[in-house]
Amino acid sequence: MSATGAIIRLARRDVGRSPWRSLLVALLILLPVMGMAWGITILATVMPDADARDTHQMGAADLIVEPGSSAAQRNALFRGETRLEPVMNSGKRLLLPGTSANVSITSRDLEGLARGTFTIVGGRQPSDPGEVAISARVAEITGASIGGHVELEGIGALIVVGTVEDPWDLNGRLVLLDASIARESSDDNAAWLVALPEGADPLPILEAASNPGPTGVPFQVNWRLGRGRLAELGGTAGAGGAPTPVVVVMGGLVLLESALVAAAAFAVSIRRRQRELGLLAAAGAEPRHLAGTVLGEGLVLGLAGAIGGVAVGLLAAAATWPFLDEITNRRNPPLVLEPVALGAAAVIGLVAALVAAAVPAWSAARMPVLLALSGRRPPSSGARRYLRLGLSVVALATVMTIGGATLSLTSSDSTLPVLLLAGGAMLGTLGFGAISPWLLERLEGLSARMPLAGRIALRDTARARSRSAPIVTAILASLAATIAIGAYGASRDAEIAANWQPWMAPDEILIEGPDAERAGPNAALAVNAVASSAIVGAANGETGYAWIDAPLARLAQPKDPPPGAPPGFGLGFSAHNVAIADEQLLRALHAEAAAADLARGAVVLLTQEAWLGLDRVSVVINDGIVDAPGVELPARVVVTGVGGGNLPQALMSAATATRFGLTAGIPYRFVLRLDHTVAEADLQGAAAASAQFPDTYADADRGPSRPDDLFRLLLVVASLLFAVTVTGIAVVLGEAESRPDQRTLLALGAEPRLRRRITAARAGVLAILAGCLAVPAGLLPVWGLLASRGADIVIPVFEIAAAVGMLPLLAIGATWILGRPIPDWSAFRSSTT
Amino acid sequence: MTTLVQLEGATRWFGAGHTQVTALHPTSLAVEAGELLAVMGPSGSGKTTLLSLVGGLDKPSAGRVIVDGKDVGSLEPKNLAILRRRTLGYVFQDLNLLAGLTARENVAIPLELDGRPIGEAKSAADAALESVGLASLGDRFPDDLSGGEQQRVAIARALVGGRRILLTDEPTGALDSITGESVMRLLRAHCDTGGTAILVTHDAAHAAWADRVVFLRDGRVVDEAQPAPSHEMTAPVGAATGSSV
Amino acid sequence: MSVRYGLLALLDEAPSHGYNLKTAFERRTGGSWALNIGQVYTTIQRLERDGLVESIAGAPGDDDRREYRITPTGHAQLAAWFENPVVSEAPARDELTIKVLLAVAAGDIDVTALLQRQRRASIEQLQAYTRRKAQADPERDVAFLILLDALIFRTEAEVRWLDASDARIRSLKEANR
Repeated sequence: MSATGAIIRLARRDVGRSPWRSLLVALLILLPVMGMAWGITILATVMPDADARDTHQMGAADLIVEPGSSAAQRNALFRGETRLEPVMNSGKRLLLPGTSANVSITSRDLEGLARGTFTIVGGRQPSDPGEVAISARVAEITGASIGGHVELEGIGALIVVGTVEDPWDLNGRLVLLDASIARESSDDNAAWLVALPEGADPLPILEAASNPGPTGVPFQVNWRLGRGRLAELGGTAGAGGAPTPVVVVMGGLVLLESALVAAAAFAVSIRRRQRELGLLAAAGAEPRHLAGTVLGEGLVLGLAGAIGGVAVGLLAAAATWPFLDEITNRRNPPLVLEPVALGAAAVIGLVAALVAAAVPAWSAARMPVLLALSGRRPPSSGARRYLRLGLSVVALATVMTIGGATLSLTSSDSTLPVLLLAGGAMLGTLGFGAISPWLLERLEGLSARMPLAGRIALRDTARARSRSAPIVTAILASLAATIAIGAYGASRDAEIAANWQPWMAPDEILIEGPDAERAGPNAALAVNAVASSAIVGAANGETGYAWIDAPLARLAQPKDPPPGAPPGFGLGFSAHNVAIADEQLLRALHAEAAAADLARGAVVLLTQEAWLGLDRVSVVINDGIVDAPGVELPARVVVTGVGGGNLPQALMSAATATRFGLTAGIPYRFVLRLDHTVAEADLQGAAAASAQFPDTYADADRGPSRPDDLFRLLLVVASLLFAVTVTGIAVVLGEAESRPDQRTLLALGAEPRLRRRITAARAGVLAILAGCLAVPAGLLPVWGLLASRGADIVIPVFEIAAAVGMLPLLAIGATWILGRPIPDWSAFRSSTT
Repeated sequence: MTTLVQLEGATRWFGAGHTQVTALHPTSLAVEAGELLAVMGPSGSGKTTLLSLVGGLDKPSAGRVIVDGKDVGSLEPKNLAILRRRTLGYVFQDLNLLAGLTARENVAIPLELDGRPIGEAKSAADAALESVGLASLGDRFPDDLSGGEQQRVAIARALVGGRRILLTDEPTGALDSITGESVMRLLRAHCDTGGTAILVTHDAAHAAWADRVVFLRDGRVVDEAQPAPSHEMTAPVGAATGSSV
Repeated sequence: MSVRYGLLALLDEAPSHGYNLKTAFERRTGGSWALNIGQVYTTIQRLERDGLVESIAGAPGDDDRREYRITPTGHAQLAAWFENPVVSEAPARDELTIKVLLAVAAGDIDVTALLQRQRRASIEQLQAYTRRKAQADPERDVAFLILLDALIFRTEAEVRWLDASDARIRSLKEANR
């Protein structure tokens, strides 16, 4: 109909008539859609699809026979045109001057079926058992380049003829040997790449592999799932780069925020076009036509934002692509486009724009014609209604939160609880946002005594309810999320700290690695250790070990005993980590007091807590498969307060160990004891002293980790930035309506800077309101979550201070600085002459 | 008689070079205390420019504008603002009132801007509202007032605090004639008690309330009208009414 | 015409002498309409001739002493007059209109100046009316105020006509420039 045509023309013209507001709305849609498009594309690019996985695993082959198959089995299965090529993978130590380093060695023909698994990026692949290609990292460790030599333990010096790269691990220590080595490997070490002839039926092969018959040993076959003839056998090939739910959930949340802000922009648009809509109505337009003009604007801007967002997101992804390899430590393919997911992101953006336009559209359709024509602001419905609505929504949200939390304890399926918790948090935010008009009206009553700027700002904010409520909700949502995460993080930190079990004494440093025994003394010198010793495990042959058992031991103060249980109910002591100790090690482990007991042949137990009457234990020797009957020995308990498996829990002297036929194991740990709590500098000193041994590291127990602090700070900064930006947007939107007021104030003798004060006060009103509402909105869901499992909530003081203190200051400050004075009179000339 | 407003060759042009547009050619004019001056002329004749110059909203490109003994062109912005809120009162054709403030608060704005205590400003505002016959409407918001009431509130605001110079730009433009007349009566009363008002209008019936009418045309004063000095009523002359047979 | 009905209206209220009628008429019209006593007598004689009024006392030769009263015919005609709207004669035949038309046609006369002179005169006239209006008591002098409004609106209409003529001539000049 022509009415529809006229309405679309009007909507389009309004977009052009207020280009900045339109741009703002389009940007609000564009940015989150852009983020989603970027995320979808980057994830799809860095997450290899099935075909890429297959290629990395089996190159150009159709299937790979994992190590373990016999030549007879292979000969029986693969006949005729079938091509087989062996692949050997193993670990070796690379000998370096004075030390050694672990490397992966492999032997395969990168010009044969294995092409695509690894890449020769320089030189050539080895063609003789005396030649190797090495990865960049190995070249770095050894200092060898093409033409140089590397030495592998047990093999000897080899000539480097090329540089090889594992496209999935650019930093890997990889040494590629000549392909002939794989051919000479035992069946247990060699895998086989298989290329089937055209038309061969793979099913019998797969069947034979798993059912080798009465005499054969089953072996594993993996076949190409990604694409090609065998894909249909595999079931779940799947498109590797499907967008993760995280991207969609995050994008959806951001779009909710955007929709709220855009709704405010549309509300301003309605207000400005009120008379025009009234004229349309007077000329016979039906409510649906009026709603159509606003929805039309939402459609136009939403389309622009959605399409633009996808386009800009793809450009951003393209701009990110050159850095992806370094970030992911892999060779990534060219950007992978996911049309369906990208389309979904665009549709979500468009829907958000339409949702944002829907409420203003509804109010436009509902507005009485005479009122619309008068240009007066529609009378606002009772603020009490908003209070009732808001409180009901908050109540519902609380129920959902507690329900979700309770369900998460009992239900094994996590989808429903997570949905309930997330939905509850979101509803709660909306509910508190819905209260804001009521609060504004309460505040308005207080404003009579306020200074002029504050009063004008407060009244305007209260009157422009359709604009300020979504803005307050948007700000409050971001702050509430930050407060909620802060509260949850702080509560979890408190819980973790309360339950923290140290795994080393605070003055100890542990050096771990194949060269620990050699790095340790250097580190001990570097940090002035008062005691230091290698930790040598008690070994029984190649694979055997010893362990300590005391099934009747009882803990002096067991945690959470059942009601009425005797002390130490149901506990027993055992220790698997037995070391052969001398006095040095005793000292280093804070057990020097037990030196005499060790010397008299007792087992020294290093325990976290006191055990009752634990003065005898049984030593159990395991030969790698079964335990021998235990032998009782006297025991001496030293309560070090240290738990966990990093340090030995039981010590015996070398003499005692010999009595049991135990020998010294490989000393891959070395402990240092300082005369003070380990500081960051000490740890760095120890690390530096061990740095020449590439596989050996220094570590210390630095207490319960607080990784959340930086995260929380970043979150606060991000949400403050967002909140200030949204406040700024709201203020700019409000300014558009305030021109006549500015003219009047100027003529009344207001100094031009009064406008700045009003602007800043407007920002302040929004920020204070949102900040205060964010506190209950943020704490409520966390309280529900924690209360349901009996944990205490820790009030996130930092986040709350940021919301109720910093945000208003920032918002007022930023608008004050960026705000403008009332312009020169000439700016108003056009409206008066 | 005291001269409250004086223009001495006041000129205002915009732009420069060949895009220069002269809104007001050199104009000299004096308005005495007790005088109601109407400025008439077609659209774009420079009426509003003249009013902005007197109102200290704009500065003359050349010449001088002296308001209450102060040279507007040489005043700092701060002092200009002070002049506007202590000496001058402005009334526009419409959108005079801040929609978020009550009538009383609107009237109190100039006093508040001048730093008077809120309580004092509000009682002065009540007095001013009473003087325009709106004593009972102080708590109403502008949207709840009729057009005539809004303009009367604007006049109360322009007069509050004993300001003497009232500048009005088509103050009756959107009103019916009887309501417009009530606004004009307020202006007249203001001048008859020693104040001064300048009324910019293109409506002859309203201009006729003035003691003197200045005609502007293309930025120049082209004529001036003053009523016959006699208060005697004379019969409509010649073709003026066509009522005689 | 209006003097005739004005006197008739006065006589409808009460019988009166000629001179009393003159002063009453002037009072009613706020002094804006000065009547010549001769005009009053002429009008009354015509009314008597038409049978609308009749003399009730005094000598036929002494106009000053004769008292008149309205006849039933006169009362009926007055009622009809009040009931019927006044329709002005359609074409403008007044002097000013003709003057402006002739000036435009002549081509060598400064019409703009002519219009402004007339505008000034009209506004001064308006000012005079308005001054009377300002001094009138809005409650006691309603009839007077209504009369003044009539005069003011007519004069205002004239000014608007002058403005419109001015604008037409101006746009014509600009178009020819």
